[in-house]
Amino acid sequence: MSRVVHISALRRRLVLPALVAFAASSAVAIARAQEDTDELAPASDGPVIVPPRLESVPEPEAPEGLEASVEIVVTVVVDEEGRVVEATPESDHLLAERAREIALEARFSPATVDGEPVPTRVQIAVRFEVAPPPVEDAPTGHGETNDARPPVATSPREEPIEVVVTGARFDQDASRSAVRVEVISRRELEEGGIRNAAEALEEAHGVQVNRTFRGMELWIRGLDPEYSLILVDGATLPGRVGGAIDLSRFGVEEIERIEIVRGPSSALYGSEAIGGVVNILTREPRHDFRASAQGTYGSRNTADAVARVEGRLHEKVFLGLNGGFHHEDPFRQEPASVATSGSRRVQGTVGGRLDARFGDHRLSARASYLYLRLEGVEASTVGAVIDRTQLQEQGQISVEHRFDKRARAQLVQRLTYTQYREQTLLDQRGATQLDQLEDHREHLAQYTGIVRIPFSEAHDLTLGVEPMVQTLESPRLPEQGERIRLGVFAQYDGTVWEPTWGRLRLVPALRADVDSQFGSQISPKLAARFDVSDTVVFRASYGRGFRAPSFQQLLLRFENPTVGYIVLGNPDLDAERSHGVDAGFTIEPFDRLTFGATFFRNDLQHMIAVVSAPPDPIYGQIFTYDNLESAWTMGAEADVAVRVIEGLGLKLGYMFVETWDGENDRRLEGRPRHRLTASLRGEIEKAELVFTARAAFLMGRTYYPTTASGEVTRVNPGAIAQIDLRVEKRFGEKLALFFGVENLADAGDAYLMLRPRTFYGGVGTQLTKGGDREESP
Amino acid sequence: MKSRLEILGLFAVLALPACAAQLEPTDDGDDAGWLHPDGGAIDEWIPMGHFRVKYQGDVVHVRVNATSYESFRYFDLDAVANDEDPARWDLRFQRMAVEMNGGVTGEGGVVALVLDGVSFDEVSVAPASGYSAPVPDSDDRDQYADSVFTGDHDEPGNAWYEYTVDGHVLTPRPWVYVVKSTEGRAYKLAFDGYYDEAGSPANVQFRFAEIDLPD
Repeated sequence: MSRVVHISALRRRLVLPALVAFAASSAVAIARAQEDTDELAPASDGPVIVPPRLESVPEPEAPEGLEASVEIVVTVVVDEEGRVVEATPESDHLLAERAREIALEARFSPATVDGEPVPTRVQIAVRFEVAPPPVEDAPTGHGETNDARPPVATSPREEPIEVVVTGARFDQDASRSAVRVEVISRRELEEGGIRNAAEALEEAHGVQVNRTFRGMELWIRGLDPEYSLILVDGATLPGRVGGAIDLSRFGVEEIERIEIVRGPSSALYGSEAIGGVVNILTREPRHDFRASAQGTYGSRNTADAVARVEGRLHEKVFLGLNGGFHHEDPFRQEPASVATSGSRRVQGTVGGRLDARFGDHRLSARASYLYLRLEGVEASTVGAVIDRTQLQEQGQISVEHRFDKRARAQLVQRLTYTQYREQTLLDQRGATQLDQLEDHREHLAQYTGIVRIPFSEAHDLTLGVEPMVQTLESPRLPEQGERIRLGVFAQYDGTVWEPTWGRLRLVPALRADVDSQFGSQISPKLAARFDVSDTVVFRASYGRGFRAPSFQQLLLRFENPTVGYIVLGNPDLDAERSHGVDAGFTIEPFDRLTFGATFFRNDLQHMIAVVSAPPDPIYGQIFTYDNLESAWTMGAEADVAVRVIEGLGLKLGYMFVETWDGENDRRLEGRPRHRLTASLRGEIEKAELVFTARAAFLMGRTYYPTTASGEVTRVNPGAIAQIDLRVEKRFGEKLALFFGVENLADAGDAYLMLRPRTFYGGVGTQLTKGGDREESP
Repeated sequence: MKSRLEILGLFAVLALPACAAQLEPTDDGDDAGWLHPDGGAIDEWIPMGHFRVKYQGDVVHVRVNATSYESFRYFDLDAVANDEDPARWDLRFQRMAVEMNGGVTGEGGVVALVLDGVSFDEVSVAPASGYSAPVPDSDDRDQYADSVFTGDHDEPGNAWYEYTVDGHVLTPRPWVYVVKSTEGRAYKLAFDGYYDEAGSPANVQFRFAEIDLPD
């Protein structure tokens, strides 16, 4: 009985509670479902939530020898396509495992919130019947629903669950993941007026986005951009320039959500996953027909136009196409300077995705093309003024096959090919000596095959193989860079201890990478999660990570024509290595409040540093690379999410980071010691108004500029307050007008160059016909 | 169904633009590099191969286009001419390297010394002693012959320039050199810069004037 109490607590927390009876005699269960329905009926001013509806389920067969009928409650997670992606029997009964298998075979029409299909958690009761039940007043058939008595009850107070993929490389409920996965949802992207992935992460918790002349780069937990792995749909990307992937490459039109895992993740992802992993998930087509378009115009000639159309081509085949255009004028942090701080940008994207489903199989093909032109002005200290044009292009094609038979196995295999090209043109003003045109081209092909084998509800094993081929042609490399890497990994996820007052899950993982250029690396990780109750969860992990030296670091031959120094690669470089720990907890003391805190530390060794070699009379100063440096970052993160009143939510995040640069015996440059983030979302349902505010406050940055006389100085610039506001007025589902301001306080300095204050306004429209994707029974 | 196939075809075309845009160099930079920081129109400078010279009283101002990574540019102080003849050239330039026709870097017998703490105008008579010719590279950090222009990098401050790593800026030291040429005449010489007005490097600027030999 105590178990039941526990379940209802769980339901109250985040479940869309439901009890579905499959067998005729479960009148009690039906009655309970009805009660829940009444109790939790949507309030008139809440979002329109349509609960999931059970479409089919296999017939539970009572095993021989069963003396009395048994009803086992199973909590299931139903994804946005109506499939059961997770099932947990709330019982220790011998038939619990069988009940789980049956529940996994169930098919629903998905729940929707304001017409959008969303994943939900519901409970169903699987009844193993000994004797045929009476027929009157009962649902008929097996798992069919009775219209008069909705089998699923919902509550407007409950949030749909969040499905994430980055924590375990398979879909899972974020609240059950062994590692914390932060999600920036499609809704947050749209309502925040966000144009690309960089802007989405600018005010996110635990990360920082820095602008350079090459674009926008990401720092996680105080670590440089080369120590974070950026993925698109789980696939590695080429095109790191100066160690960083420019996050502004990814236009919002193709992003479904962004997932962030902080902490060492090389055990699943291999190289570069030291500070964490950011996975950009692209949008899936799932409507019979939907067309949407949005146009924005603002100060500094900020102009955006995005459009998307998706539809059902065939009973089980969906197509989605999207395109986007973005423009922005350059800006100067110092108005008197000829040099620009932020480049003029012109960006265009087109992309498409085709999804087909056949039973338990799903095939997807995706292609996208990006054009990004950045134009800026550089001024050297000796008076050279250079117009710089950088043209980035990225073409990506991927094919994915998923097989999903939850009770037996899940399989994902994906082949992704990406070509990245970057042309840089330097055009010196008043002379041609420093003119330069460089053309870099990078190819990356990666296969990922992952299988997950559940042994039981409490234990499963994930195995993966990930070969990769990468080449780089660049005028800065004397030869084409080529590398082949094979990664194999395994992760076990199991409940190892389950006293009445809690549950301990251990998730050990191990990955081996063999690389044609630097040899092999073994990356182990152990993560643990302890659920004291359904509202108090502890998490801890230890992991080792590595980062492969880049082609540039291995092979570079770069002469800086401006002054005449040369940088030479070092083919003998070893991989950089790290180990990191994480420990934290999340609690939900009240329905409307969650609080989490995490301590972390990362230690990096064999870091690749630029070292000076003996000067040469012709080439001048010579620099090269060596595995010399060490550094650590350490800190704590805390976050609170609270629903103040219905329609008003607030999220606060705080991160403290202390860093140490072992080479120079000082803090790492530019890392804010304190970073506070806040996001507020309010909705006035009757007036069809949504307002959002996002803010990041940075304090305690240190920089070490060198003066003309060669003296190293120390500068602590003041605090930065980055604030964005946006209001959206909707006119039904088809039209919306919005206005906003970015960087309200016009913050930014010579060290952290932010877009100046920008006002904008725009209009969005959407046309939907027919229903959402459904699985046929 | 046909229209659906057409949509699919369009999708395939959109998906494969194969990275086709091409940046082209504009090459609009007229070389404005021959303007001296002191002022003076371009026509005051007399072109002389890779050099340009300008006379200002007894002082000769020289600008060298030393941008080539492959070849030295040779200068004869006595004739004020661009001359590669091994018997006549006195100084040669390549990027930031300055070498003399003597010691291990030439057979012309050129020697030089460096004077610190005096101005160019103050020097009117060449010192009697203290000259040196380039010698083989010592066991220092660099890989080239030691001379008064290049110095020994284990003793910072010996090269004709000062190098600031932050910004990679090269600044001439305020020193005066005395050079004894292939013809045995003495010249005082000072470096004025490494960059032209457009900020282009390896455009070495120096001035020189003949001075009296010691009695």
